[in-house]
Amino acid sequence: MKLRILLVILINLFFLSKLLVAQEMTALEILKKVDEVEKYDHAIMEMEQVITTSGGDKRLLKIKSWSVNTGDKQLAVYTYPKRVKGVKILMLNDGDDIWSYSPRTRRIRHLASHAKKQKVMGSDFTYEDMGGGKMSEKYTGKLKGEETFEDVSCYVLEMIPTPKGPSYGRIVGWIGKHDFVARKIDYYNKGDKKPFKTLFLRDVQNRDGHLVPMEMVMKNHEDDGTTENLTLNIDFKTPIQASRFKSNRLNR
Amino acid sequence: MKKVLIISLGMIALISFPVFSQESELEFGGYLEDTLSSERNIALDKTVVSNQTRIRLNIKNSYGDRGDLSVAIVGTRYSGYKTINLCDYLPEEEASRFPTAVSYDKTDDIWFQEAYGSLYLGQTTLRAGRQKYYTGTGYAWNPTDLFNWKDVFDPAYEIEGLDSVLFARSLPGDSLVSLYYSFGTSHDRPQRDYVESEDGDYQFKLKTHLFSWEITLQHSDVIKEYVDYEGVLNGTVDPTAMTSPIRWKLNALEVSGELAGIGIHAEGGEYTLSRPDDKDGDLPGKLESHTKYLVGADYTFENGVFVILEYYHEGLGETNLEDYSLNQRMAYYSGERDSLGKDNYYLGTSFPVTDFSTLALYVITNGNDGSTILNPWFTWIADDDISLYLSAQIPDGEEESAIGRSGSVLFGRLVFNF
Repeated sequence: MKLRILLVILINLFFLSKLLVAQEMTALEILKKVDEVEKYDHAIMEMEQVITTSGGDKRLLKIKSWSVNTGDKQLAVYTYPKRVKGVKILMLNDGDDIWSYSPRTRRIRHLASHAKKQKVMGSDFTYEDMGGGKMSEKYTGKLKGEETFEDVSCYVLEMIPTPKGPSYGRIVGWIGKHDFVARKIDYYNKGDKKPFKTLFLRDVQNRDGHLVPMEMVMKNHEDDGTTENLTLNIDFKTPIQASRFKSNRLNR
Repeated sequence: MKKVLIISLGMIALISFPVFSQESELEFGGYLEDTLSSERNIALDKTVVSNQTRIRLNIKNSYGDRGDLSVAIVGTRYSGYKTINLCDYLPEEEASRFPTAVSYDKTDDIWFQEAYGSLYLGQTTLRAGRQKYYTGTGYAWNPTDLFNWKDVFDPAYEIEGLDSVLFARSLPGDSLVSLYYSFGTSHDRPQRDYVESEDGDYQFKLKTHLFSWEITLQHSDVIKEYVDYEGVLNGTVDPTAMTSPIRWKLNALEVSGELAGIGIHAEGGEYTLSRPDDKDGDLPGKLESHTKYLVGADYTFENGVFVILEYYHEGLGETNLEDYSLNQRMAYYSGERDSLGKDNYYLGTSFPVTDFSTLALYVITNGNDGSTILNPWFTWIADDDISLYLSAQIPDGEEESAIGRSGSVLFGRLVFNF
């Protein structure tokens, strides 16, 4: 009798383990889940950016941005300090087309896509870090395992950029297993074994039904500088007029 | 009369904004800028030091999305060496032809750099008053911009406003059609006595997008001054009639986009020149209808190094330095023309040294006479609102080349934004 019970338990355990393996997600499925979580129709955001150099020198910038279709179209306007107040950056087609506007010269400049590799206003974020687009289209992923990062159980994904993706050699992301929100991303240059910068995403809050990391910190390992992006306010409810994303209207 | 009427109508329309809109936002801002420069004056065989303190106050009142009123008042104060003598830059042999110096003194001044009102009616923009207006895709030169003078050593510096009216209408697909009418006057050029107001300058523009390319078609009609120093020195032109108007008509194309990840920009067109004051007369000096164009490429490497290269073909330029005329040289040193040679090259590279500082080196070469000017720049964002710029101009070439007797220049600029 005991033997029969043990056999039933073993058989059940066998099928249960099969079921669990079947439920283990592939990297592509995880990336598609991330895309679902990050998806939004429109967002208006106010943000503070603190750039800190290795010597402890700090600069504060304030930015208001409007974006639609998960960042496919984005307009950022610097509101502080006075040195950059009124500077506008318009990114269309997931950041492939960039325009900048300077209020001092009143000039609108169309930048080529290689400008995406440039740092924005001295921060550790590049234009391509700010660009929108689907993770599952920008990267091909490989599930490396699972880890707990800052008390959050995460999938660890190695991601190689597709031709549509950014210029990095690869990135490794820690994706929350339960909410599919990225908690940490290591950025590697081509051929490098150590990341040259790491993004930490913290203070995940539910805003209008969207999970948003309110604090993003980019740590640059090369110059030991950091850039903190603190979301002060984000609004997913107010619709945005399509005309806001016209390059011809940047000088308005 | 026509000018007064248009500006008055524009201002009346703009003043009525509060009727249309309850919300109104008043903004103040500006900057204080101090530029200290040291120039080796070869003609005087000494180094001259000059200082310019400049303040700009911006006042803008925005009426939501319906329009705005904007004023920028600029004041400048000079100290140190204040004289600009064009003869100091000419080769000695040419300079000796002038019985007196062709010079002016920089004087303290305060003026409206901008004073305009904008009205936004859906897809239409109407802007009237003194305003800045650009055209062209080039960085170092803009051969299709007949309205502004550009300093190749500081191409990103702000320009002066022109008394003008702009009508622009957005079209589907982020296209734009615009008509710009300028009275040809500004702070630098308060009046053009020899031109009737009906002969104001204008530009028609159609901008559109094709794939990732931005394409602009342009037609311009601008009156520019031609100064005949040669005629005065030869005695064939009366000194009181040494300036004559020349009508420049331009049909041009501007493009910007990318090929294989490299940014490409170009602009150019066909210039037809004529004399509005003498319809049967020949064009003076070496002026003739011609073609100008600029082709440029830029790229950012993985390590953040940015490189830009431009080639500028100046149809009125010469291929041999022996062919440079006195009038061409004087127009070049006074900023009326941007090159003496036909083939000009601009190579620039910049690199972020730290998060708040950038080092750049630009090389400007006249491909016909071999003269070159090195133009290094160091930019440091010293504080949230304080920027420091250090730069130099180091010329190399024969005295008879485009650089003439230009000496090395060092300058430092401190800007405080408020």
